Amino acid sequence: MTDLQILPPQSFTPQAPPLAPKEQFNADATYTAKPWTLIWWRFRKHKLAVVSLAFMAILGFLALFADFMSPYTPNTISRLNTFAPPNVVRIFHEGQLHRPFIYPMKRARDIETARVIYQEDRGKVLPIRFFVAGETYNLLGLVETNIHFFGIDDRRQQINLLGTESLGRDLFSRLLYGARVTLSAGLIGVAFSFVLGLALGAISGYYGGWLDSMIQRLMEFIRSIPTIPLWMGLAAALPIAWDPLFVYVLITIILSLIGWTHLARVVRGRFLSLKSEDYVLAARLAGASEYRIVTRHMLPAMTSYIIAAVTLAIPEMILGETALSFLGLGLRPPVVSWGVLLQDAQNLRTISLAPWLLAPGVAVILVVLAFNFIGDGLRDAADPYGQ
Amino acid sequence: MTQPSKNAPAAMQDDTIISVRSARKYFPVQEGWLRTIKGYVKAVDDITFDIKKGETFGLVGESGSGKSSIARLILRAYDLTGGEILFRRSNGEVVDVSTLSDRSLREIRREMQMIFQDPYSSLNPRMTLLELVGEPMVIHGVGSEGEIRDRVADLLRLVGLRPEYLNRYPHAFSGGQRQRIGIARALALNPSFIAADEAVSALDVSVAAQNINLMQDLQEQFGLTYLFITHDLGMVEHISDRIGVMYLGRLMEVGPTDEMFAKPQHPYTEALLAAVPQPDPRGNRTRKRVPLKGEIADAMNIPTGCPFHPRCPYADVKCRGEVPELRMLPSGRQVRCHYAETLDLVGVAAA
Ligand SMILES: Nc1ncnc2c1ncn2[C@@H]1O[C@H](COP(=O)(O)OP(=O)(O)O)[C@@H](O)[C@H]1O
Ligand code: SF4
Ligand SMILES: [Mg+2]
Repeated sequence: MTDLQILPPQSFTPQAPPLAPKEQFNADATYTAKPWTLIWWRFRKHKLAVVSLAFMAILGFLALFADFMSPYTPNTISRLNTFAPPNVVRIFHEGQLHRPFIYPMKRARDIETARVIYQEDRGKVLPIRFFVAGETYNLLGLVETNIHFFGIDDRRQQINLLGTESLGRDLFSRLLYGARVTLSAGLIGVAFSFVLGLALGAISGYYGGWLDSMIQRLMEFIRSIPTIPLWMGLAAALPIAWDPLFVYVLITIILSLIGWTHLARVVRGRFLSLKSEDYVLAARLAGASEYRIVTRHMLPAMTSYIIAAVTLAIPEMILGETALSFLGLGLRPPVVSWGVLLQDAQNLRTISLAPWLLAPGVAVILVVLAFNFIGDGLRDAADPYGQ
Repeated sequence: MTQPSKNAPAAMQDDTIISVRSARKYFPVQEGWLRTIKGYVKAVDDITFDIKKGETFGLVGESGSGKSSIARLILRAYDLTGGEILFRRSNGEVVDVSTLSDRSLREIRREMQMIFQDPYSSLNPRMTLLELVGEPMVIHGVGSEGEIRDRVADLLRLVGLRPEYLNRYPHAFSGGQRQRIGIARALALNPSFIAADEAVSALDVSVAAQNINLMQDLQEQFGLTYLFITHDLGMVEHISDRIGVMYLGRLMEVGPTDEMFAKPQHPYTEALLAAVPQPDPRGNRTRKRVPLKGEIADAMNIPTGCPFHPRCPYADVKCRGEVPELRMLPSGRQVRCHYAETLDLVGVAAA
């Protein structure tokens, strides 16, 4: 095997022939930049995508450390604090600069309607404190602690950045805990559909033939099914008595059973176009094994596309989870997800009384938009060598 | 591993490196999602020719005539539908490329290489020059990392690129330079045979000329044999020793370059030559040149009789009904035309 046929050095022209003027380069960083560097440079130009990426990074952090970042647990009930409006964080008290604080809420009853109304008590200042002791929790399931990122030092008052709901639970805390469930449902669902889509798309595009035809028909069939009735049917089949966590996993699987087709189409398309690429033939003629061709020449040319497609698939999953849970077919209390939270905003009377209950809806919209912007940016940057 | 073909070796002449014999390649044309075969494209149909060691064999013909298919058959990128392709290895052993096992094929791949037409799509944009030019060596386990690095630097120098460019990606280079990267890569394992498929067709005339010169230098230096494919007859004149003219998957004429340019014996060759720019336009005033009329036929419906007859100004009833064979004329030239001896066709004046 090692009959090394390296040419004797003297058989080479000792000096490279002089270059034509056109060939003299100004050594530019792009000439030696790694593919991912080029992709990042392109992505960076997409301002909305960069902002969205930062937003999602922050939200992801908040969700991951939801128990630390939120002042209360999602199920801390406060009977005397129902439907409280959001506190406003202020820095001026009686015309004077003050460290960030809130005014406590005074609870009163409307004389005519007997409804509870809240009013800020401008006389008292509740400064916001950081790393305050509160309810005990397990940070990431590892460390038991009672330190929360922020809160107020008052036994009777609460800080509710987004108000409270019918049981007086803090919506901000619930939103963060819900982000954890909703975002991870999206990610897990996408992970499942990634596996399905990659496998079936690759088989379809790489082998072609009747296998490709079959998979194509299956995908068309799945895509032609109206999703909501399908979800409803599948979700209705899940017994109510099951562990909510188990239901959660099943729901994500249901979502991914539908969501994989888009990804499979992207993967298949890439495989098809790469298969006829001259450099793949060149590798084959150099004696490369199929394994090397796929791993060294085909996959690297599609990872950026796959990542873009996956990113664009996440919002679908999130919307799916939200819609299912909102309709009462998906996750159920006591699990907190954005869809579950939106159930509280189902009737008009509540919304007019406590419009802040729509906050989870706003969160869903922002996250869906952010993923779409990131996905678009990635898709545009996916091929930095486009001619 | 050495498995001399039963029938082949004796029949191949000593000075021949490649012998294509009755090679056929039919591509099935499929329809519908059940993929029923509704016909075949006869991309290569009963082609026979030899390439001698150290020569450059030019293969010309319009786009779609099957030139690339032949190159890919020789390099076994495609499997033959019929016939055989013999190759003389550098150790003298003759093998039938079309029946080689995967393992022996890998060995053969060190000795025959390809240069591609499109300098943009034939280099993986995600690999540096080091990875690109060194890949054949990595695949065949030749040399250590350092040796490969040195060898790649040498190869780059050899094709007129600076070895400092080792870590650059192909997008840093112009079309002509990329083509030379492809040449360096093809040379990496010291092949004896290189098929250049439209290797300079995508380049500017001056850059193309530069690269042709480079290829000629390399041929001299390393005793390479070329199969030089182009749709432009003007391109092959300088580099080719002999030329094969292809039309619709068949060879129409084979012969030495200068003879064929001076006096074509097939009407298709004459028509192709009519498109070649003349060095001295006045030199040929006396004779009217016959330009190529019409389009190349649909590869799925090859005309009856002589495949060229719908476009041939000399066609008659016999041409429409009877398929001409590729015949050896007394002059030693091979022609596939009923009237090769009687027609008096126009060539071009020598440059
Ligand atoms: N992989 C393929 N599958 C089906 N048809 C092909 C394939 N490759 C080439 N052909 C057909 O074979 C004929 C000859 O093509 P090709 O060898 O590329 O000709 P050339 O290189 O002379 O332009 C064309 O009609 C082309 O459409
Ligand atoms: S055989 Fe007839 S049609 Fe064909 S090239 Fe000769 S003259 Fe023309
Ligand atoms: Mg071609």
